[in-house]
Amino acid sequence: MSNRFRSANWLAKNGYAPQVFLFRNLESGQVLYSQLPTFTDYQIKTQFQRPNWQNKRPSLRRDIWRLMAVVDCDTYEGSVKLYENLVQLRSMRDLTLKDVAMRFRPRNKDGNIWYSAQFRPIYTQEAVADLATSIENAQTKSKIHWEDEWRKGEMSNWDGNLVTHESIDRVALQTPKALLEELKEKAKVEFNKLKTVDVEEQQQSQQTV
Amino acid sequence: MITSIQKRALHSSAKCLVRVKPPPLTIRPPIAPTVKNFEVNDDHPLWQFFHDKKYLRSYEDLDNAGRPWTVPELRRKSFDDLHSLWYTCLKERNILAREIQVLQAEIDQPDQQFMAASDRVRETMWRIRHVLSERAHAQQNAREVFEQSEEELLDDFKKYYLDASKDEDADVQDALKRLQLAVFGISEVIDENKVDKHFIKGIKFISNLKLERYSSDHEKYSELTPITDAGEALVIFHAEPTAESLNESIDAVLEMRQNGVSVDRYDEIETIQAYLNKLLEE
Repeated sequence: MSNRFRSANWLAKNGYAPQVFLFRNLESGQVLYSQLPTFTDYQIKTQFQRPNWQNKRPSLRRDIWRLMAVVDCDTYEGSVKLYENLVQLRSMRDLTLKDVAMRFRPRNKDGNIWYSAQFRPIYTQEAVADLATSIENAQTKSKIHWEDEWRKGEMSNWDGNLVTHESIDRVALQTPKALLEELKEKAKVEFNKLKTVDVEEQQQSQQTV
Repeated sequence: MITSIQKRALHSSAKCLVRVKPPPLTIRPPIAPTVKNFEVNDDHPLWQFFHDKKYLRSYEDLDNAGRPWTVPELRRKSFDDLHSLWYTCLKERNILAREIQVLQAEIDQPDQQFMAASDRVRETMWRIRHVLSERAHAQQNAREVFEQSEEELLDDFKKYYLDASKDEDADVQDALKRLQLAVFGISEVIDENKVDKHFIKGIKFISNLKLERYSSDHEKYSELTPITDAGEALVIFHAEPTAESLNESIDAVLEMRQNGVSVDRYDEIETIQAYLNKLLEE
């Protein structure tokens, strides 16, 4: 299902929640964004456009991808915008603003980006920074479920009015499929609640007018 | 001439209705993870690997003036003291090992001051083991000697016990208590006792001793002794070390014999243990 870009309407019609999913690669630390709780070659092709020896195009092996974060948005449009922003920022880091991105990366004493074999922790840290930027740009109220709250970094990086943080239960992480299903249902309930509140507010304002 | 755009700018509503643009999409420096996001309980078990919840002690905080415990000092300590000292040392070594590991990542070699502190603790630890092994060997040797000369030792005691005058009664009773604990493992406290063949042998030996000292002029003495039944032995063992009390117990034993109450040789341990358990419950 996640083999092409999905619009807000499509997501709502097909029973998905307004969510964005971040998966991290255990071997390399690279991060993959997805609109759906699954990912295919489509995401890899769009998000790793110029692979090189340091930033190899990752494989689809399911065992080396782990859930890193799930973002619940307040609207479907918001979630789509958030996803678009994330992908755009990824291409900026890899293509258009590569020199800026390279300057941000901390170096070891030999002048190389810190690594251990194929693993570079900087990719995850960049993805977290991009997530913060994307949420601010999309101006969508969101709740981030972290696999490990350690990753969210200093709270000063996050817009307190837009973002709330939660951590995922450690035991639930061992069954990701059931966990994602549960998060989806919760997000849908939350979305419907917000929708009814909005409708009621609109009706009240119409009555007063 | 004022253009329409300029005209619009003059209205106050223009400022209110202006569309708020979200910040432009630009890349920002990566966000590094931080441990500040964790809340750790004060009683988390891993705190035992930290001194005063410090990541790394400074050289001033290290105990540089101290010295390891010496063997003569440790010899004066009880087993419980040594046990707690051992664990205190073990925890300290764990803390030091973690700190050395942390420092090694930075300076590429083990830090000499921390290593020296760790070695001092290690010295105390091998000395504790040394003292304990000394005690174990001493106990083993004593046991071997005792096995060879048990009869001789008991005979000596018997002689001392029976020959003592009435004035020495209190001393004799204290000596008996020490003997029953050292040789037969019979404690004054009931729940410390474990009934085994030594215990049974002990109560038989002591009951015979008591009878001989306090009731040898009883008319039924020669008929009664030696006591070989564990139940009878226990009755006499319990009696106070006085002639009256022991005569009462002799009557009780005679009554038991008349009624045919006796403990089978093969069930001695279980029967006496059951009796002690019953006493404990009461």
